[in-house]
Amino acid sequence: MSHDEKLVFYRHSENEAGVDFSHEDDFYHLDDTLLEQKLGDNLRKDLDQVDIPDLTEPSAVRHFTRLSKKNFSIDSESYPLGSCTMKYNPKLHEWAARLPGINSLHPYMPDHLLQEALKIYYELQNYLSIIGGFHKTSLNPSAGAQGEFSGLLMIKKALEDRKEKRSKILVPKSAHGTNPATASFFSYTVESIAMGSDGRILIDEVRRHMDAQCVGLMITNPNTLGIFESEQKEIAEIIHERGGYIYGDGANLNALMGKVKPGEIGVDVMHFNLHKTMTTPHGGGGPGCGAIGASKELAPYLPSPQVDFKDNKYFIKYNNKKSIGRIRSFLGNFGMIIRAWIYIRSLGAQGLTAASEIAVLNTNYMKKKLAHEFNLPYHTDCLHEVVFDDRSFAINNITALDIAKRLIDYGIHPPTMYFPLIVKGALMIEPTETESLLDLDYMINAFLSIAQEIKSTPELVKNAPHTTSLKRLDEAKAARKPVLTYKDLLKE
Amino acid sequence: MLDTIGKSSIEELFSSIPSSYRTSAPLELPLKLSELDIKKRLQVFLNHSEYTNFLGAGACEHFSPSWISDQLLRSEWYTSYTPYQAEASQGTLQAIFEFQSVVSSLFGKEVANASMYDGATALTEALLMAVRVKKKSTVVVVKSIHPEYQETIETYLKAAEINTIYVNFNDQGLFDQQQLKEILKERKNISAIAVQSPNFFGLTEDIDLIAKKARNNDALTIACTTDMSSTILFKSFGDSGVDIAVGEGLGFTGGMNLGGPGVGLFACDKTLVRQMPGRLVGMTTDANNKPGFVLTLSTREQHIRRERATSNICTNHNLTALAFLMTICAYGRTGFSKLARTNFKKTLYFREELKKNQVPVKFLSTHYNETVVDLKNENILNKKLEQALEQKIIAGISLKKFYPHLDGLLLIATTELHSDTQIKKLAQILGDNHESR
Repeated sequence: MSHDEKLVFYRHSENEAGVDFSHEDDFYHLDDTLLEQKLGDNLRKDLDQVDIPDLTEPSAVRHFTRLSKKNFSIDSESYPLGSCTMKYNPKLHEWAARLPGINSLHPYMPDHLLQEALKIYYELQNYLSIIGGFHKTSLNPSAGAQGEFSGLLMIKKALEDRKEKRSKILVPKSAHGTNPATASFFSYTVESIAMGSDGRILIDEVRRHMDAQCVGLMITNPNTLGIFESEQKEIAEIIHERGGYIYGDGANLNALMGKVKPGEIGVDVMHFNLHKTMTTPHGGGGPGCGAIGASKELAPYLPSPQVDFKDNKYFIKYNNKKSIGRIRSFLGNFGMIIRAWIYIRSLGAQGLTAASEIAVLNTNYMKKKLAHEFNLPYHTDCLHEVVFDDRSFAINNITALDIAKRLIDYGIHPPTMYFPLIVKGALMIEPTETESLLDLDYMINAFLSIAQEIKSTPELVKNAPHTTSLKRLDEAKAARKPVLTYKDLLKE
Repeated sequence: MLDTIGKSSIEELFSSIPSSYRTSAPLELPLKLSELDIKKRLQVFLNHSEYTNFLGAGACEHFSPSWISDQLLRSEWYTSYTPYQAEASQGTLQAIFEFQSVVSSLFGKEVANASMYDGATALTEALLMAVRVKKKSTVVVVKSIHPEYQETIETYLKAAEINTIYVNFNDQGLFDQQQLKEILKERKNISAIAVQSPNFFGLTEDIDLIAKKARNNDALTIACTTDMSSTILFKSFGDSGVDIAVGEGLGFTGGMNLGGPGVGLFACDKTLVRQMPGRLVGMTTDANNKPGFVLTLSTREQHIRRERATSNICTNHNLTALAFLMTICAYGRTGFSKLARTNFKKTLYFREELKKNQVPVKFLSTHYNETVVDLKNENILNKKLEQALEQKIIAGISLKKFYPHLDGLLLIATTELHSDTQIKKLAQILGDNHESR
């Protein structure tokens, strides 16, 4: 059942505040008149403009509980969102992350009170280095995009130390949007590298574009088609020979744990998405952690601070000499770090490898079962994700968007749509290792019956979803005349 | 399953990887642990720290009502993805819309985005945005901004080849007006002036003055707070003429967690919205004309605009943004205002107690949460810290850690979480004359 839940502001009932503070204090001799006197013109006088409702606890809880029910989530729906690695988030992790002894850790506490937390932090730095084949790892970046920024800045500094300044960077056409967005931060000219008919980077294109003006290449492996870049070592050789570096986008690491170490096949610096591969929950859009691993050459440039171990003590190391510096406040998202640590400790080497194996198995099973009805733009073997397109349904005037929306009616979160950009009408499926055979078969049957519906009752698909409280939403209208706040709404 | 696929082994599924690329041995990780083992190992975290904590410095803890953590355990919140599929994500989308409404109104600005990583990156993105808007290569940053925010700014702005000029604070702990005046006289290429208020020492800065100067020099004013409760007590940033308002919400997300994840808050007016970084949720209607929510103005963002995006941010801090929204709604406007007033009064109370114990306070203008106590030198300061630790009190942090030229100054935060008794005790420890005992 789904309610039409109004905005929380409509629940406002003046002075019905649900929270009070300590009644045991005697400081109230400092009354509000004194406070107002002291603050004078500096006191906020337009409190009526502050849009915070006064609520009772039951009213607030009902509101947010009802809202939550309007979300698809991994715990209730299959979530085969390509490139996002929506795997199950174990409850043990949530228990741990909410422990009072972690919640009460202030980043500036004396080191001796932080030993246990710093130990976990230190160990995760090492575990990720081992998994990625890197010399050293930083847990500072808040998300993958911040990892990309840090990595490219490390490369820039390394070039500067060689008295070099380069002006362009190579990014494959299939790359995530964050790659070119990060590159342009440094004012690098982004040169797109085309993919061959097998869905892999054209090595000749790399050879043609890579010169002494070029910083290097940003690579995702397996790439966003789920295809392994089997010439990565050769590509890395070309880049390295001409003084460049390889930045690895680790979004797709879930295909490779225990199979390939990116640091061993030419990647100089790479971000891990702990909120993907290491199953820290995605939280409806973060927080995540975009830890970065670096080769021996680039490790000195990693962001500060780091956690180190000496004389039997863990400590926070600020101001590393060659470091690119600080990229955010404090140490990073420890809430994610503790979860990722538990994940790696729970699975161990064999478990992590098995996770990658099952993720690849599940994907190939879906690929095989769906390939009769859904067009595969690339036939090359895939690993943890597969990309179909909507080409075969063009005659029925049905698009990837329609299929995605119809899947919602089957209780399945849609795959990633219209990405990668090199595939027109793409549907990118990544079931992860989370899906059981039963759930996989359910998903497959849903896709197949939609394929039938497209032929028999296309309108049903065209107008989907039907089971949600809202039909398709008008995105163009939202952008034309933006209503972005409650105040905007009141002005309507 | 392998039969269906037509492969004879799992290994065959990986045959697209050349054998020379494969790791030669299993990962060298420690042996795996069971759930029971892990719970035992994490037992050390079962209890709340036994220390009374007077550390703030950009991370002041605040009271979190019980229902917040309970609500956040709903898997619909934490196991969902970024709400790209609007029909399957109305819960998150509506909550973000509410968050945008709360945050923008607290700042007195027209629009807030769906969150940044933290206060430091929000402030950094604000400076980058100002340079995009004004297209001038220099920004001015006041040194009483949280030092770690300054370091973050330095990393990013140097990388973007933007010139940063710093304005010092004077012996009252406030930005040096004379120096700012001189900078503005000499330089004509300034895109923004950034200030924090209450600043790192807990003092409110004269933002109106900065905004006036910025306007006269065709620059934007950026103001930041590391504790969002200040926004409901003091004249709003918007009212003071601030163009981009940013803040940190960490204290209102239900835990300090070693300083992360917090949540970066970011607001401006609609005239600037197309230069804004990050996600935005807008209201629209569905095919039946029923109201609903979608991600909007996405043509600013990396997944659409790629190399021409306003920022590379993708994953933000959504769940902590939700925690912030819920916490603020739990207080209500009345309660949040009361919390801010309580915090202000606690600081006044602490200063009264310091006076009683003859402990000199360093900076004397309007304080919020933080107090700087003058203990003369680092030696005495460290002794006091140790004395306090013996009584299970973390008294604060030395400013020398952040400003090497400062000596013997202790930064102490007092909030609604500290009882009068605890505050009294701290003042006594600080006042207790070691030598005469």
